Amino acid sequence: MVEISAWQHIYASVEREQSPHDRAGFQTLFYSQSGLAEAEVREMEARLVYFSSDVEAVKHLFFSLSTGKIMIAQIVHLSEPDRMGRKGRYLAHNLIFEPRVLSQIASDPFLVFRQFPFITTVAGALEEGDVQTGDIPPIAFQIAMEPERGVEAAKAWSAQDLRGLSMLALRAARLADDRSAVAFIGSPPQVESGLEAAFFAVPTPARPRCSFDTYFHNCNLVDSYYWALGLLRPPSNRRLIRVDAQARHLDGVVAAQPETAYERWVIACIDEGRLEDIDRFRDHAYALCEWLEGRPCDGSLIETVPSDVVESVFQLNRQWIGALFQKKLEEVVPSVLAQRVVDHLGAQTGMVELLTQLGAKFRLPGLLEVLYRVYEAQGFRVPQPEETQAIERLLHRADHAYLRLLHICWTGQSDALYIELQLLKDHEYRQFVQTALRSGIVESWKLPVPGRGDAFLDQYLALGGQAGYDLSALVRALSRVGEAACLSRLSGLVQDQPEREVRDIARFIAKRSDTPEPFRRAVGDAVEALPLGRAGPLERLRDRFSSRET
Amino acid sequence: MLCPFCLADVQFLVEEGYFCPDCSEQVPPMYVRGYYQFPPLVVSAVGLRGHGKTVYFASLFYLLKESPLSAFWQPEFFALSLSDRDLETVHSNARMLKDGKLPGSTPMNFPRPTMLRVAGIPMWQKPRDCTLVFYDTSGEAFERASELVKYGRFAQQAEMVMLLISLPDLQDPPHEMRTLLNTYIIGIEDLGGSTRNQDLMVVFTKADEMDHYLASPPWNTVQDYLVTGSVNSLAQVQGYRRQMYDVSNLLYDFTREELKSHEFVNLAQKNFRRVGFSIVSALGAPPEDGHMAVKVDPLRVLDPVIWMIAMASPLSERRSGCTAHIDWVIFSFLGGMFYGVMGGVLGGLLGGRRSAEVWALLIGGLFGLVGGLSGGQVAKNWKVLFKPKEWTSASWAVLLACSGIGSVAGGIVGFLEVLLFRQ
Repeated sequence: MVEISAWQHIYASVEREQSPHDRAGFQTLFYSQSGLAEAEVREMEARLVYFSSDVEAVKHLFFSLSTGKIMIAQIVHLSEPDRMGRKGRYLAHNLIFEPRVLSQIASDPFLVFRQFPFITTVAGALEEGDVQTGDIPPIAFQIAMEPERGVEAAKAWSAQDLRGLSMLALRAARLADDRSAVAFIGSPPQVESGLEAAFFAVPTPARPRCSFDTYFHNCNLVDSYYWALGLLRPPSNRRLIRVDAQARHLDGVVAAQPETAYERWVIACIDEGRLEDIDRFRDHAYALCEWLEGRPCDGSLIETVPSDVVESVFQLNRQWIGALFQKKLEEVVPSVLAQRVVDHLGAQTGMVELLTQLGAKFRLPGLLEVLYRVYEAQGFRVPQPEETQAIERLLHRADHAYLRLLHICWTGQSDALYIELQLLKDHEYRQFVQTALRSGIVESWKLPVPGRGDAFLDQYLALGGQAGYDLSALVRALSRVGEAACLSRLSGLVQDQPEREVRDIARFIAKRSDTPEPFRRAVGDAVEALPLGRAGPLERLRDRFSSRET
Repeated sequence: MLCPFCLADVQFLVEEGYFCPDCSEQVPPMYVRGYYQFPPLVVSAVGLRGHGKTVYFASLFYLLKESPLSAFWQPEFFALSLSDRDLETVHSNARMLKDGKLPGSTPMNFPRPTMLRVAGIPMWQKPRDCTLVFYDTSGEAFERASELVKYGRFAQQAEMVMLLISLPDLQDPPHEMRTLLNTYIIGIEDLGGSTRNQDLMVVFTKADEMDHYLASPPWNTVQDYLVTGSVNSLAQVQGYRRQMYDVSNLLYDFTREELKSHEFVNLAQKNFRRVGFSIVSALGAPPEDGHMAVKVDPLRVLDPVIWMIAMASPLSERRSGCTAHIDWVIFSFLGGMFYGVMGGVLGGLLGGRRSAEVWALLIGGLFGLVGGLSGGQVAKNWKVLFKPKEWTSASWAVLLACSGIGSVAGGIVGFLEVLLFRQ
C-alpha cells in the first residue's frame, strides 16, 4: 500500500442556497485553498464539461495543468433536475497531485479510479467542504498497487494492436503538437480498458502527457485538448486516430516504425511476449534509453537497471548506439578523441560493462583514463598531430599524469619529461618506466631522474634486454642525474657490449670520480678484452666530440 | 475563411477533406465549397442562466426542420445541415421538442458549432442565403467578462449579437439587463474586438410568461403580435418585416418606459452599430417540471434570425473583395504611377531622339507594372501587421488591373516628357 495525498476540487451545478458563493448554476463549490491557485481552478473548470446522453456515463479525466500539477477527476451525472426542471446537471470531484506524489503509484490514474471513493452527490460535497469559505482540505489515502492489472489489460489486445496502441501513447507529445488525438470508440468502461492497455508501456515520467477523457461526448477538442478521447460513435474528423475499444482493434495503419531506443525496446518486448518485463522494468529501461539519447532522466534508475535490460536495450540499438555515444562524448572531448574511444569500447567491451564505463567516463577525468587505456591497447603508437593537439587541449581542462607523460613523449619534450618524471610518486614512476621501456615511446636514457636510479634499473633490468641496451647513453644519463652509485648494477652488462660502446663508456668514466669501483673494474676488464690497435687518433677525436655532445 | 471551430481566419488545407491549419478540425466540405454562395452568419446567443438560449435554438431547429415552412415558401426554401453531427443535433433537438421534452442545462464550455444552411427565405427581393453557425454555451459564461472571453469568444465574430432576456426570471430588470450588457461589452473589448462593429438584437424570451407586462396598452399590441406569430403566420411574408420593425420600436419604448431600463438602452445605442428588439416564445407555453404539457408552438422565433439576415453585410464587405483591398488598390496604383513615370523618363533617354516616345511607353509600362505589383506587396505586408490576409485570385486580378492602369499612366507621362522637353 502506498499513501498519497492530493488537493481536492469540487465542481457542480447547484441551486443558489447550496452554493458557498450564493449563486446558482455550474460553479466551483470547493477547492483546497492551501494548495491550489485561482488560475488553476479556472483551468480545471474549462475541462469539466459533461453532456448527458442515453448512456449517462461516469466520466474519468486525466491531464496535467499548465503549472505541472496532475488532475485525476471523476464526473457523474446528477439525476435531479434544476429549479427550472432542466436535466443535464453533473458533479465533478477532482484530485490534484504533485507529479512526484503521483509517481509513487507509477502515475497510474486507473488505480485511483478503482480505489478512491469519489464524491458523487451534492450532499456529499457539502458535507466535505466548508460552505462559509469554499475551502476543502487536502486528502490523504492509501492505494494498493496492482501490477497484474496492467498486464491483463495489455494481454487482452493482440500483439499487433498493442504495438500500435503503445506507439500512440509513447508519441503523445508529438500528437499534441500536431493537434491530433486518439479516439477510443466504445462505452466508457471499454474506453477505460483500452486506455489502460495503452498506458501499459508508457513509463511513469511520460504518463502525464497521455491526457484523456473517457467520455468526450459533444465536447470540443479545440478548447480542451486531450491525447485520447472516449467517444460513443466514430468521429467525423478523419485526422483523429480511431481505436475500436469494443473490438480491441486499431482502425487503419497507425504507427510507423519505432524511432527511439525505448520504443524499440517496448516493441521487442511485445513481439517476444515479454509483457512482464515491460511491467517490471519500463521505468528503468526508459531512464536508460533517455540517457542514451541525451535527454534528462532519473540517474538513480540507471544505476539499478538490471543487466538483462541493459543487454536487450543495447542489443536492439547497437547500430546507432555508437553514434549516440560519440555524440554524447563530443560534448566533453574533441571528436577525434571521441571516435577513438567509441571504436575501442565498441570492439572490446560488453554491454553492461559499457554502460558502467560510460556512466563514469562522461566526466572528464574518467574519460582521460579511458583514453589512456585506448592508447595502451594500441601499444602507444604515436597518433596524428591533430589528435595530440586535441589531447593537449584536453589536458588543460583536466589532468591525467600518464596521459600527460605520453603526450610529452609523443611530442618530444625532453625537458618537460625530466621534470614530470621527478614529480611522480615512486610506484607511478616505476609503472611509467616499465610502460615506456616496453613500448619504446621514448629512449631509455631519457627516463632516469635524481633519486630514482635504482627504481629505474629495477624496471630496466627486469625486462632483460627487451628494451634494448644503449648502455653508453644510459651510463651518461645515470651519472648526469647523480645516480652513478647504481652503475655497479650494470656491471654484468658491460662485457656483452660492442667494442665501440665499451670504449665510449671507458672514456666517459675515466673523467668521472663518482663511478663505483665494481663498474669501473668491469669496464676496465672489458676494455682489456678488446683486440689491440683499434683506438687511433681519429677515433679518440671522434669520441671526444661525442662525449662533449653528451 | 472563418474556421467555425476555432474562429480563426484561415485558408483550409485540402487533404481528403478540408482541415483548419490552426485547430486541425475537419470542416464540412459543404461549408467550404459554399462559403461565398452561403456565407457564414454567426448566431451568438448571449444571456443569463436559464433565460432560454438552448431552448431558443432547439425551437429554431424545430421550426426550420419540423414546421411546414418549406411548404409555405416553395420552391426555394430549404434548411440543410452541413455534417452528420449537425444533422443529429438539429434532429435530436427538434425531436425532443416534438416529444414535449426540453433540452438539459448547457455546461460552461467553448461549444462546437451547429451549422445549418438556410436558403430561399422569401423576405427579400434578392436572395440572402447563408450558413447559420450556432454557438450555445451556458449562461454562467456571461456572468463575468473573463468567462465570456474563455467560453463565449464566438460572440466576437457575430455581426449581430442576440441578447436573450427572460423578464420573468429577473428580479431587478434594469440592473440585471444593464449588468449583462456591460459584461458583454467588457468581454468583447477584452477579446480585442469592439461592439461598435456589431448590431444588437435584444430578444425578450419566454414571452408566454410575460402577460403581466403586456396586458395593458400600448404593450398589448406586442401581445397581439406574439399570439398571432405561430408558424402559420410565416406563410404570408408580405409586410412581415414591416411588422417586425414596428414591434421593435414598440419594444424599445417598452424597455425604456415600462422596464425603466434607460441606462440599458443608452448603453446599447452608444456601444452598438444598430439596436433592434424582438420578442419570442420558443415553446408557445410555459413548461411544467421540465416537460411540455401541450404541443410546442414556437411564436415569432424566426424574427431574430430574419433580423440578423436582413442586417448582415455582404460577405465581400466583411471578409474579402475590393472594399477590403482598398489599400492594395491605392498602393498598386501609386506604385504603378511612380515607377511608370521613372520608366517613361528612362525609356525616353534610352530611345534617343528618333524613337524616344516608343521606348518611353514601353519601359514606362513595364516599370509601372513592376511598381504596381511592388506597391501591392507593400500594402499586403502592411496589412498583415493588422490581420493576416492571403493572396486570392480576386486580389491578384485587382492588383494587376491597378498596376496596369498605373503603368499606362506612367508611360504616358514619360511620353509627354519626351514630347515636351526633347523637341
